[in-house]
Amino acid sequence: MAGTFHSLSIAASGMDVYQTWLDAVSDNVANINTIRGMDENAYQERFVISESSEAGGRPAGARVAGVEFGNPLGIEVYYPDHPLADDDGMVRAPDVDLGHQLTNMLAAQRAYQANVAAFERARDAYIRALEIGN
Amino acid sequence: MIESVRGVDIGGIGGGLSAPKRLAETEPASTGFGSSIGGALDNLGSAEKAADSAAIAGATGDLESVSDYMIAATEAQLTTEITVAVRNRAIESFNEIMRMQI
Amino acid sequence: MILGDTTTQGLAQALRGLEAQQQAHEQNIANVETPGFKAQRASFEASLRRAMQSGNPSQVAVSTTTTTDPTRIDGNNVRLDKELTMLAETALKQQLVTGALNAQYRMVRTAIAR
Repeated sequence: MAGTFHSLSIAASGMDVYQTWLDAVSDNVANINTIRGMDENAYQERFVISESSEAGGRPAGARVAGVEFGNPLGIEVYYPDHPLADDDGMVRAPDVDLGHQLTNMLAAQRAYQANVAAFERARDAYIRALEIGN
Repeated sequence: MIESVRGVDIGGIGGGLSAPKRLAETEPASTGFGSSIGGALDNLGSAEKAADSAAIAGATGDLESVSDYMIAATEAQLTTEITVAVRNRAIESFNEIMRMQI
Repeated sequence: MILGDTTTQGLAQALRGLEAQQQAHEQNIANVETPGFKAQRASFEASLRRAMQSGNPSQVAVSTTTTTDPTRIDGNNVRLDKELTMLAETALKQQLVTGALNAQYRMVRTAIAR
């Protein structure tokens, strides 16, 4: 976004980051029961790494620096009836804690909504600035 | 934009100059009346330019601050109104003077 | 434009460009669920900047590009919140440019009025 309405792009960048985080958390929760065989990696928890960003010396909000993946070994579970179980009846379950994911989801949602509110406040301020002198 | 209407004839004076500028030139520069009108016209040119470049900067997204443009535009408008009010008074005075001589 | 100096013409061109941007965002939003759809962007700012520097506002070109953002499973890459925030910004820019155009005409009217 261009510089004139810069506050909007700062708030929008926040919305971007937290939407990405929400997507990652949803992914983790959706895969909480994804079983893999012992010969593969388990489903790895998705972590979103965020950082603050600058553009031309001015603050530009936040951005996603990258995505990290959690423990590839997962949790080894004895589940002999599962089609992917090896000769010992072991499978890999994701090393993902549901409670942890739900806490993250609440935090991401609250942060997202705060950025939406910041966006709307900035927009109102700009609308009023455009009425100066009228 | 005012350049395109400065050629408008005002009260029979004619030419490419508007009445206030003509009056400013016939009066000696030291008198308050002539120099104040000339001053307002000078300011109008720079106020207009400032508002114009800020407006284009707003359109291309290069404008740093919205209030920069709004203030420049308001000043240009007010300077125009001052200039026009002064011009109108000058025409009235001129017409008064012309009537008196008859 | 009959009654316009370079600034007025430039602003009128900007309004054309902003309209194209608005329509691109609206089109993207309408197609947020269309499989394979890629978000479109309209751009005119660089062209306008160059045209104004060379003093020739009639040369402003509005160009449309297709984004290469990552897609979801259905091949669609439209992000709804992004389109909405960009639409809000375009609306503000339209307000600014429309106000500037009105201000230009208002000054002419003031000069004409007795």
